[in-house]
Amino acid sequence: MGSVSLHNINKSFKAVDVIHDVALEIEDGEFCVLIGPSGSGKSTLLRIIAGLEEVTTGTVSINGKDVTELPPKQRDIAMVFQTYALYPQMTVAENMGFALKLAGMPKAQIAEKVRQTARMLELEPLLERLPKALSGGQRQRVSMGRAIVRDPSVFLFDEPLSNLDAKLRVQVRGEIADLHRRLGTTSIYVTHDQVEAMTLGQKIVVLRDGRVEQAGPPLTLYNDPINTFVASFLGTPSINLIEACVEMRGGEAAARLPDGALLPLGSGHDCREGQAILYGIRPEHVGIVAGGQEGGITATIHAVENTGSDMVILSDAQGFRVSAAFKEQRPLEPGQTVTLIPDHSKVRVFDAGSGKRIRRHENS
Amino acid sequence: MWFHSKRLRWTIPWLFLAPALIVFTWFKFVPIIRGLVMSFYKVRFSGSDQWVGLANFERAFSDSALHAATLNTLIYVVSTTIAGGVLSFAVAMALEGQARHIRIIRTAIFIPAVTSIAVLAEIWRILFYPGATGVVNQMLGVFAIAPQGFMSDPDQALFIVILLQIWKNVPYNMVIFIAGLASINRELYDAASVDGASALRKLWHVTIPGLVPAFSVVIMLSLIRGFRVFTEVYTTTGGGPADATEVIMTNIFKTGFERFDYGYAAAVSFLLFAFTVCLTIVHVTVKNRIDRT
Amino acid sequence: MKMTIPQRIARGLVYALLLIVFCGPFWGIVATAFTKNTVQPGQLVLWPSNPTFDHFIYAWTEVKIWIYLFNSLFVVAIATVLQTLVSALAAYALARKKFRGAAIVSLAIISTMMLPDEVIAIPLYLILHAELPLLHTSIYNTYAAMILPVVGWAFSVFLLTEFMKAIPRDLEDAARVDGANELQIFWRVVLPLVRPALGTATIFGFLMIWDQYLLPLIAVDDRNLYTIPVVLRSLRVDEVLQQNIFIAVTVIATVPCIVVYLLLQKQFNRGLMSGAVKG
Repeated sequence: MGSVSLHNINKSFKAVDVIHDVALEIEDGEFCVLIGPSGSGKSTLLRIIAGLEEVTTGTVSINGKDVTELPPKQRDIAMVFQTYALYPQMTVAENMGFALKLAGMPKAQIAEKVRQTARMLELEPLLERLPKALSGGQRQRVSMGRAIVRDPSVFLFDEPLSNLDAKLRVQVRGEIADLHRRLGTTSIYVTHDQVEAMTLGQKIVVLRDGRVEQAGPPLTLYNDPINTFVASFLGTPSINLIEACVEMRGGEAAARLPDGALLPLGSGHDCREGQAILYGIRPEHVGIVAGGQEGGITATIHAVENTGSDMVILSDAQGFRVSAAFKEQRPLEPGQTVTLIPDHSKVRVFDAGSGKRIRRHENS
Repeated sequence: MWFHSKRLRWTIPWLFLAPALIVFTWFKFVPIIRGLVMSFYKVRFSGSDQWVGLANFERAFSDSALHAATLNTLIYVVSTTIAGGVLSFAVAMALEGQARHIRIIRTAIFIPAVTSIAVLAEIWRILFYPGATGVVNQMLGVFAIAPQGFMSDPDQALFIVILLQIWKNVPYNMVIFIAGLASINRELYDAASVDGASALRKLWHVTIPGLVPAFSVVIMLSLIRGFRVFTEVYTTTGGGPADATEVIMTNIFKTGFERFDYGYAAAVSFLLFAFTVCLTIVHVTVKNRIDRT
Repeated sequence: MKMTIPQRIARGLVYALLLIVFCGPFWGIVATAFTKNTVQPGQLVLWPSNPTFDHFIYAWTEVKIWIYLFNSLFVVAIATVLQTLVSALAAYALARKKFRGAAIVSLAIISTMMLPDEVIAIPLYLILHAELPLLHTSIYNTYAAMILPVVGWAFSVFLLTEFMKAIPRDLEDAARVDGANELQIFWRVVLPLVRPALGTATIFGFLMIWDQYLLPLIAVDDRNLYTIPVVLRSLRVDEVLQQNIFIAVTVIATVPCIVVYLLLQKQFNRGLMSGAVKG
């Protein structure tokens, strides 16, 4: 049991509003990721859920119980911190058992619980060590163990991987996903890394300037972003957003790009002749053929990034840049002229002024 | 529990501060205010005190004994600051490093800095005993110099007391300089060597600029210690002979506790306090200006 | 860098000179205190001839130096513990809490750092004589009169505040999430983390309190409550007392400071260094 719901949360420090009217429902057992750039309020929101920060208005409920006024220890939550926040003077076992000790649990029982958790996380040989004698990855694991041992309703993670090196990050990410599958505990996870968000989250909440921009399953957000912010925040390399102008051709809308290319948008878009739009297409939905050709964007390659598994092409068209990505290896060189052909069914159109998505009508 | 109640949460910091606030209020703030108030009165033991306005302060500006004591204090401050600063810098340069024998020597010569002034004063009285049997006089005797009066000679007494202060301060300041030296980026020395700088140039262009914060602390400590000096003088000479070593604080002490002229003593104390505060403000301002450049 | 032989000799001479100047006198009083033969006033010996403990025994039993030693140690022990505890409590509030009035409290406390204790000697003397509020009794002529005035020490408060400010917020939050209340956070999380600073505050406090001279002078006039620094002066005036015995007393008075310094040297140097580096 561990649903979390936030109602109309507002938070201001002095005169600055950092959280605006956030409402969120997180179901029991769900893995929810809060993502956003720094200053988006994601950490503040997590601290509000933890009870470390007070709300200005609004309510926080855990398991259907209003906990807005309760201190952290009465909220049945555990938290994993970015810096791990292990007590340096306590051994691993003491760190993990500290909350249970404060709660007045008998010593033997604490030892037993700590041992169980340690076994699960393969921390048993480290129990008597001090945090300073552990590697970064081990510390991270201890800080998770400290949360798990309490068997809370909700886990809160505050950027738990950002202090690890790249390789370890991938490994621990897998372990966290694993753990969630095994324990099934509701988890709320703050990150600024969209890969973590996409791989871990069952629900992703994109925040900007203290507001929820969009919330939903990862692929929904990826495929169906509500605005340019969400579209460009998720996915690497980031989505191409090309300034364009709508031209209506017998009920079908098309986009006139700055270089003069005219690309079809398909029917049913809610737009009008002459409207300034952003033509959005993800790099992996851009096809590429050598030489100049009709029906695409002619561009010159200025960089080729090859990671072995992926190829990313950065190219200059007249007045804008386009990137394309694909899996297969192709003999492309900088300076080469190519034609880029977007997959018209994957195009996402946004209003240039507001950045809001212009959707297609389903019925047409 | 009560401290979780939102309404009472503001009390938490004050509960933690309460013990400190009580002792500070009763033994610092109240005496400061009381001293300030007293300085406007003539304090009498029978009957109520008499308001005298600024008379105590006016008297301070025309009190020749106080002027003499102030002059002695200035001599004391300037010489302990300059001589103490230069000597401790030299000692720090001589004893810089992490070698074991150097660390042991540093620890050993620190003994005067941790010994109480009362003990140091007794040692000084033995070393500078005016008779022929005194340690220093015996040493001088080797060079065929007649026994000196030292602290019983009005011409020498102040100098001997100043020496005591320097003796105590040098090891203390040395440790501050050593810490300052350790904080200088080693690469600056390497860069200077690559640039072909001589040892003297390194000292001038790398070491001394790097020690500015240490100098600042040492000078400030010397100034504050110097202006408020009491125990060093009181336990060695008591201000004598013939008031030759009388400083502001011993003068105040005698005015207050021997002549029971509390109001006047409080007024002079207040002037000294105000002066120390000004000195600190000047120091902080100068330091900030240096930091900014 | 390799040193040439003359350079080595010069270095050795500098070291020897420093040791003679700063430690020689201490060696002299120790050696003299152990010497059987009576010395002239102002005389020190370099090596104890006929070494003896007699002077110490006499100082202990006849001069009853243990009374004053006990007074000093008692005052310094209680006052140092109280001072460090009170400072740590205040530092916790100043370093870890945001509250209205924090700036004023800080300013008030820091202003006493520039205040020479001697300047408030006279009003303090009167206050020690006066009745305490609520208690309706004066603490004059008690240990409390020598202890309580030194419990509030701005240096100690600010040293600990600086160190407590450096504790990461995450640790405090972790403790809160783990269910610790304010006192538990203070006692089990914050205090262990500033243990080095507590050591520094303790040794500086110890030396400062041990060195108190004017305070015992104005706080007590019962000779049985005198501390070592105060009694030294009155013993010196005592013409009958043999020079060697007086020197033995001086040695006894020196030992506690040196022992404490040697034990807590690391913490002591850290305290001095934090000043030198930060300015």
